[in-house]
Amino acid sequence: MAILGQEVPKEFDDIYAGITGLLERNKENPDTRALNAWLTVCKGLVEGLLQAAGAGAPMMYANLGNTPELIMALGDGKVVPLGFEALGGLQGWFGNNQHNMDVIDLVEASGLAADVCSADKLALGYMLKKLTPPPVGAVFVNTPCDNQMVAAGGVKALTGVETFIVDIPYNTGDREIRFVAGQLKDQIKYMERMTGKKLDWDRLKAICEESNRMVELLLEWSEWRKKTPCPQMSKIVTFGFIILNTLSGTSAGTWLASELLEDAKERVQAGKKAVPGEEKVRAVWFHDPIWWNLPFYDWMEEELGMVVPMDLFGYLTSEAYIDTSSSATILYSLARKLSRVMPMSRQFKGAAEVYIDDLISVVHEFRADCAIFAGHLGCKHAWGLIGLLKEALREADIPLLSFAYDMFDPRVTSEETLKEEFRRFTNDIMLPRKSR
Amino acid sequence: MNKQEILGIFQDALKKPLSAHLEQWISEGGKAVGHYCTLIPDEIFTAAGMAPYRIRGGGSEATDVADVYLSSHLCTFARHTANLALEGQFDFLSGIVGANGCDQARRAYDVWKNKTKVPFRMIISVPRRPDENSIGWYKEELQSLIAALEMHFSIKIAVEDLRKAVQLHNAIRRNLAALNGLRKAANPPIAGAEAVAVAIAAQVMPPESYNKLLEELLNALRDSQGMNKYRVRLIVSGGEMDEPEFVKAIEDQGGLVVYEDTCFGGRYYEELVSEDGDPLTRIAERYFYRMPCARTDDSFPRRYENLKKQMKEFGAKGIVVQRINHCILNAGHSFLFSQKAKEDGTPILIIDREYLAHGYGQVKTRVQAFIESIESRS
Repeated sequence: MAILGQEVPKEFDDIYAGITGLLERNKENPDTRALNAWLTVCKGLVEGLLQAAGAGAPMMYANLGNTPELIMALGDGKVVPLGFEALGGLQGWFGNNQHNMDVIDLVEASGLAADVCSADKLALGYMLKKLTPPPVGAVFVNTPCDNQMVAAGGVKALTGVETFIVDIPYNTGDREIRFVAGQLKDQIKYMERMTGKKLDWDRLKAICEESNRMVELLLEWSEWRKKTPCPQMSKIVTFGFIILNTLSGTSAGTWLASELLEDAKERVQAGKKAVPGEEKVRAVWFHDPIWWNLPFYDWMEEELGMVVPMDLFGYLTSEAYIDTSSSATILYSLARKLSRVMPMSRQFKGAAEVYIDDLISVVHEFRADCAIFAGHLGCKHAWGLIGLLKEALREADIPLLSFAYDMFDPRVTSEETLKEEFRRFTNDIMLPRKSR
Repeated sequence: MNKQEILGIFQDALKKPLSAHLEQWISEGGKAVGHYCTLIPDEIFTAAGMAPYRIRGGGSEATDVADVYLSSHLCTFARHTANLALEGQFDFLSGIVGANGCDQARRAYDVWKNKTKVPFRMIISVPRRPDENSIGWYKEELQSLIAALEMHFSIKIAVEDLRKAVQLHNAIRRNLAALNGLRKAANPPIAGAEAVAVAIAAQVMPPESYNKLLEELLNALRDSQGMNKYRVRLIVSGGEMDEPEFVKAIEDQGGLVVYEDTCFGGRYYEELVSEDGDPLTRIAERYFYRMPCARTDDSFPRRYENLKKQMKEFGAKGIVVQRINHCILNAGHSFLFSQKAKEDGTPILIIDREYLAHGYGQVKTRVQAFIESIESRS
C-alpha cells in the first residue's frame, strides 16, 4: 500500500482510506462542513506523520493529557509532537476496528492486564508491532489517571528511551500550579537534552499566541452549541480533547476551530439543526466517547432525536488562555492548562466533587435534559465516583444514563446492547418525563 | 508466652477492624487515626499521641454497600475497605487520612469523606517523582497534616514528640528487620504466612504494646525449631498484600515465602528514619526516597534490582508477582515483570487475584505448576 508514494503497512492504509473515503463521500454535503474540516486536519496529520517518519524527523511522544506548545518551540520547530495514542484513535474513528482488536489481543498476550485502559493498550500494542515511529523522547503528564504511569513505564521498556513525567498534584490551586510550572522547566531541560535543540522562547510566544487564537474560536464555538436546537452534529465535540492535545499552537488547529465556529453560526442562521426531526432530548455526555463507533452518534440523532451539545472532551474553560507577557507567565499558564483545563485531567485528578460540579454546571449551561456517564472500563477514577454522582444528580433532578463499555473495543459491550440502553432511557425515562 | 501464643495475638489482630489491643487503647482514652498508604508517616500520628492505623479489609465479607459508590470496576481492596467504612466498622477511628496513592484509593477516600462519620478527614498529595525538586512539596504536605491535626484535636505536636516517635518506629522497624533476617536461614524459625501476619499487625496495633510483643516473639524464636519441609523458596511481590492466608496458600503447595516486596511488607519496615537533625525532614526523606512502589515514576528498575538482591540474600528461586484485579499501577509493573522474565529468565509467576477471595483454588494450582517448573530447571 502506498500513501504519498510511500509504502505503508495496512494499518495506516486503512486509516487513510477511511479518511479520504469519508471526505470524498461528504464533499458535496452541506451538513458536514465541520466534520469535513476535522477529516481534512486528520488527513494532514497522517500525511505529516508519514512524511516526518520517512524523513527521519525527531519525534517526541506526548500522552493525551499533554499539549504540544513546548515541543513545537524546540530549536527550528522540526521536532514532531506525536500523541502516542494517535494510531489507535485514528484507527477507531476512521480505520478498521479489527486492527485495534488485534493489537489489544497482542498486548494482552504480551503480559499487559486486560483492565488497563484500551487507549494505552493500543498505544503500547502499536509500539510492540513497531508501527509507531520511534521517539527521541517522551513527555507525559500523570493525568488523568493511573494508566498514564503504566504507559510511561511501557514506553521506556519498549523503546529504551528515557521518559519525563509532569506530576500534577491532587488539588489545583495556585501553589499546585506553581509546582507544575517548576516541573515544566525541568521538562524543557529534558527535551533539550534528548533532542539537542534549545527551546526558542520567541517561537514559544508565537505558538502560544496561535494557541490562544484557537482557544478564542473554540470558546465562541462552544457558545453557539448552546443554542436550542443544537445546530451541529454530536460527534464533532468528542474531538475537542484531541484538538487541544494535538493542534494547540498550530495554524491547522486555528483553521479547524474557525471552521467549527463558522459552520455553527451558519447553521443557526439558516435554522439548521443536528437532528433530522424534532430535537427530543439534549444530553451532556460527560465521559469518554464511543470511539470505535462514531456512526453511533448519527443513529442517536436520527432514531432517538437525541443530541449532545457538549461532552467532557469538548468542554473548555477560559483558563486555556496563555498569558504570553513573560516566560514565567507562559509556563504558569501552560501548567494551569495541564492541571485545570485539559479534559479529564481537570475533572478526575482530584476530589469527586470537581467532576460532579462540572457536569451539573455543563448540563445547566447547555440547557440539557439529562446526563450520560459512558463508563469506559479503564477509567477507575471515573467509576469510583459513580455513587456520589448518582446521588448528586438525583438531588439536582438530572436523569442519568450510565453504562459500562470500552471506548476502543467493540467486543466489551456491543453496538446493539448500547442502542438498547439508549432506546430504553429515551423512551421509558426521558420522553415520559418531558411530556409531564 | 511462647511463639504460638504471641503469633496468635498478632493473627487475631488481623481478623476484624478493631483488635483487642486497639480496643483497650481506645477504652483508656487513646485515639486512633486511619490512613490508606505507606507514604503517610506513622510517626506523625504517634507524635500526636494517637495510634496510627493502616486501613485494611480484614473481617470484611462483602462489598455490596461500597459497590453502590465505587462500582464493581474498582479493585476489591478499595471496595472492601470502603464497605467496612460504610458499615460503620471503622467508627472507632478519630480520623482518616488519604493520599493520592492511586486513583482507586482516592475514590475510596471520597467515600469516607462524604459518607462516614469519622470526624477528622484529610488527603495529602504525594509527588510521584522522588527527586530533590519534589521533596520540599512532600514535606509541606506533612506540615499541613500536622497543622490540621493540631487544629482539629487542639494539640501541639512538638519537635521532641516527633523525635520520640521516630525512635519508637525505628525500633519496630529494626525488630521487624531482625525477624525478617531469620528467614534467610536454611531452616527459618517462622513461616512466611506467620511473618506476614506479624508485619501487618504492626500497622493496626498501638505501636508501643506491639513492639513489646514483637521483642518477646524474637526471644521466643531463638528456641524455635526451623522449617525444613518445603520445596522452593519464593518472594512475593506486588502492591497491597495483607492476607497471610494468601501466603499460606503458596506455602501449602511447598513454596516457602521468605520475603515480601509489598506495601504491608518490606516497604513498610525497611529503611530507617535518620535520628539526626530535624525529625520532620528526616521522616520526609525516608518515606519519599524509600524503595518505591508502582505509583512512583520509573520505579520498576530500582524495585527489580532490589528483588534480585533479595533473591540472592534469601536464597529464593522465584518471584510470585500478585496483583489485585483492576489495580492499574501494578498492571504496569506486572507487564514490566513479564518483559524482564523473558529477558533474563528469572522465574516469575504473575497472578491476578481478588482481595480476600479465600480458598485460592486458582492460586494453588498455578503455584504448584510454578514450583514444578522451578524444580525442573535445577
